[in-house]
Amino acid sequence: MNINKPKISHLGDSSIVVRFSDKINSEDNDKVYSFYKLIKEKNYSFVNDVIPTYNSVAIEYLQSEKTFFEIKELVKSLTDELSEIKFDYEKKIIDIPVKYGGKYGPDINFVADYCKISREKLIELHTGVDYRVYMIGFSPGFPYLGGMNYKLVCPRVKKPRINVPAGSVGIAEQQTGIYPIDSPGGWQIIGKTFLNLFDLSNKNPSYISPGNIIRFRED
Amino acid sequence: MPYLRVTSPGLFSSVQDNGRDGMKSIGISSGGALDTQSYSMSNYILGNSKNDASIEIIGGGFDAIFSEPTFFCVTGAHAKNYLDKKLILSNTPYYASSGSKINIGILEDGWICYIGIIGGVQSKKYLGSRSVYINSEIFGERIDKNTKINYMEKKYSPKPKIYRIKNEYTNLSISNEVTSIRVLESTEYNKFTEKSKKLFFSSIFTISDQYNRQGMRLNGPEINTKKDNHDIISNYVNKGSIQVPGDKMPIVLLSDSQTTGGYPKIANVISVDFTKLVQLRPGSKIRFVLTDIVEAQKIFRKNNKYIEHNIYEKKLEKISLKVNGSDISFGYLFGDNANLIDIDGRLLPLDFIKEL
Repeated sequence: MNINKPKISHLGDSSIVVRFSDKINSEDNDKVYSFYKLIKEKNYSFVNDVIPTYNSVAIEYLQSEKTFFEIKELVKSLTDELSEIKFDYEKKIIDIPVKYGGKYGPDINFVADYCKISREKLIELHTGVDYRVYMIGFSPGFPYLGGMNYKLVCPRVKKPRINVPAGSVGIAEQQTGIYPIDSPGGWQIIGKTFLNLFDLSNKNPSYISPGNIIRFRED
Repeated sequence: MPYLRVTSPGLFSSVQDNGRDGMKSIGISSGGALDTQSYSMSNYILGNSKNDASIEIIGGGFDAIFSEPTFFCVTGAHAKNYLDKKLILSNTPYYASSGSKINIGILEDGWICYIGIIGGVQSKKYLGSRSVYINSEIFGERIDKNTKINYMEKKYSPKPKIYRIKNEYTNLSISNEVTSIRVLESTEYNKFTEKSKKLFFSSIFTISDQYNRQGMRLNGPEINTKKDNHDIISNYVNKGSIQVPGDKMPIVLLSDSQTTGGYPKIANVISVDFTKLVQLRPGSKIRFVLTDIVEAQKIFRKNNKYIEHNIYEKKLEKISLKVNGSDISFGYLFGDNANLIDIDGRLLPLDFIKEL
């Protein structure tokens, strides 16, 4: 998929989704942030929110002011305008100490069994790489990380949990992430960090920003 | 500061306004009132600002006591509501005196009520909103027994334009009937099997009791994807999104929805029918009807006009009084069993007249 020809669809009657690819990779994520930045800079009065994800950007607009087709035309002209793919990542390395397994990581044995590796190997593989923060979503401050070792790929839990405690570190498919606040969730939980990842007394309540580099280590 | 002391919180009650927009990029849900229409009416009736906070009561059974005199109204679900053991009407302003007891009783139609108070509820604002978020206590706590809900001190109404809303106007469905909910195809619509798409629109779904401000689980036939894989790369979701996880039972995301999700979405409920859907109680039956974006946005605009035309100022009998031998201004009563009077644009409790 070319940046100039993204797939555009509605998601309900007041949101539009602009999709640049179906994959997770840093090039497509760069396209997302270039477009995200452009829309944010325009500061349109009829735009309520702009949400970047792995490979798409969602725009929430006021349907009392613009129709879907008007927004779609606007998006087309903006992607044409977008010749340069540029996003200044804040390449800050964030160190996250994690207590793996036990009561903090109830699914660690399931993941190890599913991946046919030992618990020790799982921790080694999970702490062994630097992760790129592709997006923040799901719940306040929740970072979606890319770059996980393919040997750790495993499905979500069949039935989402009602409550996953703050700080829990999880795996789902090719993704790994941290739950910054208590919330329901469907990821396999392998450990927990005691860092406060979401704090309303800070100017930016989210400890982690898109573009950061996350490094897990065993606590 | 005056407060409403809660003696029975009901199933789930919380302070809500229009929520927080513009922060989904750091994962903060917009939140806000579930039935935005009934919530807006609670402010409109009292002449409040559009974003003043009200009390959202899910499932009825709410009792509280006013510490100081104020004006209030109840909107949303139809229930037997009482002020000091006297039955009160929905969508009508009332005067509460010091120690007055309000009771939201047994629900007749609908599932969610709003209590609006003049000037709005004065709870703490987080990131510009008073809306409490169900999944965490970061934006305040749910209402519990003995919670004190603060409101503004008011000797008289500073904004005389107080309205009553026609009782005929409602977004409530009749219990026991199947309610049609109009939806649009969602971003992963074509990942579902032809059979499942057909079943989705031809079957009746029941709202399960796994229902909170974040989402509503439905019971019905299994809805399956072509590859029998219900995991996708997480992407944007919003309220009204109908996602189908691995157990193949659809979940409708509501106002406290997460901002991104990893289950395929088959459809999205249109805005106008969202307020209808959230007013259905667990056990209610629904059917999904497919519409398109042009139609959905037309329905939205038409509904906005409909609301405008169905709100009107209630002017009943004129009151004339002689005080010290001279006539004083005329006023209007609100509703048949109302306890308010409007004198020269100043809203006063009826008891005030008796004292003259």
